[in-house]
Amino acid sequence: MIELSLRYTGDIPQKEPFVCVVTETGSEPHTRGANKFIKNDGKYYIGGQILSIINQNGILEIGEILIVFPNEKLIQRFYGPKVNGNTILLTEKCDQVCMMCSQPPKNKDYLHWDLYLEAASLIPDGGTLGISGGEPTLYKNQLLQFLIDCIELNKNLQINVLTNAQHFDENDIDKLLILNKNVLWGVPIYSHIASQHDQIVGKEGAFLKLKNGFNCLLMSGSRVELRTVLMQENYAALPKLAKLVSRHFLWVERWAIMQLEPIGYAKIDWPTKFVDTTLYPENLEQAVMIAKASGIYASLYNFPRCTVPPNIRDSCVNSISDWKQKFIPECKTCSQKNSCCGFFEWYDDKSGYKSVMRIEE
Amino acid sequence: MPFLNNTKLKLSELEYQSNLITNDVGDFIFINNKNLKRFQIDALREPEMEWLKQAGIGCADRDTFFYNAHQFKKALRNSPQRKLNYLIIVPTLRCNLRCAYCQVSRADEKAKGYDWTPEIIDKFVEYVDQHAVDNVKIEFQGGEPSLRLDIVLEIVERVKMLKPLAFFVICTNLSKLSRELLSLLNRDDFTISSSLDGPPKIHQENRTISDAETNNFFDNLDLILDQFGSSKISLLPTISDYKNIKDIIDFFFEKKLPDIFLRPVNFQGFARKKFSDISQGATDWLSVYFNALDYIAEKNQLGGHQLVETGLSIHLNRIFKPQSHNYVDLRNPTYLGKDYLVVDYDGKFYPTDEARMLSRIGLVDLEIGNIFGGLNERKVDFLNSRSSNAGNSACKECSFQPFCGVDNIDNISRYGTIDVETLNSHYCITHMGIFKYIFNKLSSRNENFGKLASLCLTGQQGVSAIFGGHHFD
Repeated sequence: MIELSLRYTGDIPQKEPFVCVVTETGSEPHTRGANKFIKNDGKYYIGGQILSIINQNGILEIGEILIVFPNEKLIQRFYGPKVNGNTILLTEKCDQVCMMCSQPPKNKDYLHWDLYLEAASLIPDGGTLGISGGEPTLYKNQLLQFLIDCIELNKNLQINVLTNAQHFDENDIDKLLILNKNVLWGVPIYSHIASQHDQIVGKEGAFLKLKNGFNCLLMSGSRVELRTVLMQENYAALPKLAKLVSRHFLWVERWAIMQLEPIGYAKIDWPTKFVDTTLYPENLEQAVMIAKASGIYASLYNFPRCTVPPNIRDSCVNSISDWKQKFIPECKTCSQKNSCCGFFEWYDDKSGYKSVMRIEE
Repeated sequence: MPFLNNTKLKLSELEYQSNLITNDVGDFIFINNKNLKRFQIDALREPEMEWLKQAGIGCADRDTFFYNAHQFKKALRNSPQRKLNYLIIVPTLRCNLRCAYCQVSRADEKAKGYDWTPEIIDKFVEYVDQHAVDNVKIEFQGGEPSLRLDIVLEIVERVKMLKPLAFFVICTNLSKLSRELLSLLNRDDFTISSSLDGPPKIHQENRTISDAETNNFFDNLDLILDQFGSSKISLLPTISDYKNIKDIIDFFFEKKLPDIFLRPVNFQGFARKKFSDISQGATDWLSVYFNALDYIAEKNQLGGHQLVETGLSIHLNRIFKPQSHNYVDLRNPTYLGKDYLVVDYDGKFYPTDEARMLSRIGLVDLEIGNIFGGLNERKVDFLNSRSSNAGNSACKECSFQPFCGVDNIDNISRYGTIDVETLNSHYCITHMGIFKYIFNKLSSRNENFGKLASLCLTGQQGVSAIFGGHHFD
């Protein structure tokens, strides 16, 4: 498991936080003049000073972009070339309280805009940066300016932002327009029924604001990934949501239908939230087919392949990051293990799917 | 119709006291007579209005999400063709067969002067380089292109250097399966298309004539199916005798082919001289066709192989996918000479293969330029003066307008003019009939049809339940 922040011992000359890139003595990767965090014989040096990293698994890869906080003796791993989910957590504050939130809100911010910008400018071509929260658009004006600055400095940078789209208004459209090639907005919608959506996200009027947010994203030609987490709460109406998506969301890049992650609020009353698609596959099957019939690409996130009907297995995406992925004994001899996302690290057989089975060739 | 002050809605009556309402971007609902009346006198309750709004049929206020999503769909529906992405080319007009209803006009196998010259090849490659999109598709037509595999090979190699994403298909009668052709088939970017009129007896009657040729054809067909699988080859039947249609379908099932395109014999090329009585009878064809579709839908439920009917698939895609403009004969607007071009054996350009035939038989000259001088823009513009059904007074009243299209070439071929009375035209009768058939089936929640339709739209084993959510009752 990769730890996103590492503690170290040793003194370094700088007192203010700074950005650096892990390099090897003698090699010269894409540092673009940034500070070097030199790795040599398994030891790390900054400005000639030796550092030791406390965390056991704290092995840094060449090319990783780090932010060092000397006062806290903390290293934040900002970007790793081999990691597929490089994400900054901007804030843990949120204006919604979703009943299945995997990262329940806290009153904490990490708004190091200047450091993030410098670090983002160092991401090599083809790299992707994620931004999540909490709700990043609670700091909407700073966020939009930050994104504009990022792509000004790093033209091909791909940025995925997770947002509840509650805070966009017509005045943002010009800025969103500038971002519409580089930024993919991941926006959740849980139901076609306003009251049901509002109840799931724990905020009255959220659906109405969401529609307005979609309007701004649509009018600015923004790229959007719709995201729907499955719960017993919204499962019955899923085909109707699919119909809404197929009629009014032809402009989105894809629709991600996501299986519940057994962590955070989702763990509370888990048996009343989790949808066992091995027992009740019909609505999921219909939703994927409805989307497909209208030319919308539906992807299934966090679904092991054996937990969905064979005719929609092609929609399963290998979505669980390797550091929180596990396989269970049934997977050992399964023919589809290589293309499967596996299970969450914190998946528990007893409360999970009733009929998981290996898939024959 | 004075619905909710929305003039964009159109109504048509369906079977079993149901009705269809569509809007200008092809959203649709089914509504029974009782509710239709309430709808017309504006007596709907708030949740019903909200349902209509989500169904795309209710009025949305300007600059709101539903309004703008609607505008987006309108743009998708009406997006014109821009870049050249499909080329049909005729490296030789010569053919070693002489089929009764040859659609592509042909020259004798031994004739001279019917093949592409090295100069045409050079010019063509240059033209593709300059005008075609990166993932251009090139179809080798004929005559019989396998008589000049050397040209095919040269085109593939040279185009691939310029357009690495290019794709190729060869239309061949499968009489010759040389080692060179087999090695081309090994490529991922190369497929094959051929005619298959049904079981050997019918195919022989129509095409291969002798036992030897027939056996040769089916041996070659089986070899391709065994070696490359059915996705490598698309097989088109021509149905000259309607009473054979079930035998033909049965044979496609037996061979486990993924799809069948049921069309009546074409009223063009040499076919015109012999089968004119059949091809005029659009209505006759439709009843045969609908029975055939019912038959396929039924057979698909037997638990064995499942077959898609391509014509139905094209119509369904037009209904459910506003972005589907791939089929040249059913789209709107349809600008000729833009995304699609035919280059004949002598380097002349035609807007469609049908246009090439019409010109060949001397009915009308639809040549729109040539490989040496480029497109004749003046003529292209003239042909495109009526390329949309938006201005047509009959189409304006029709609920199927958003899904339908225009085919001026078809009108020219049947009536010698594009000034035809729309409602009596072969094109209108055929497509209106098919749309009506589809909506009647969907409205009555026909289970077998729903599964076939779902298969056509998604390519996966069908789930008829996906057509729920349109019924206002």
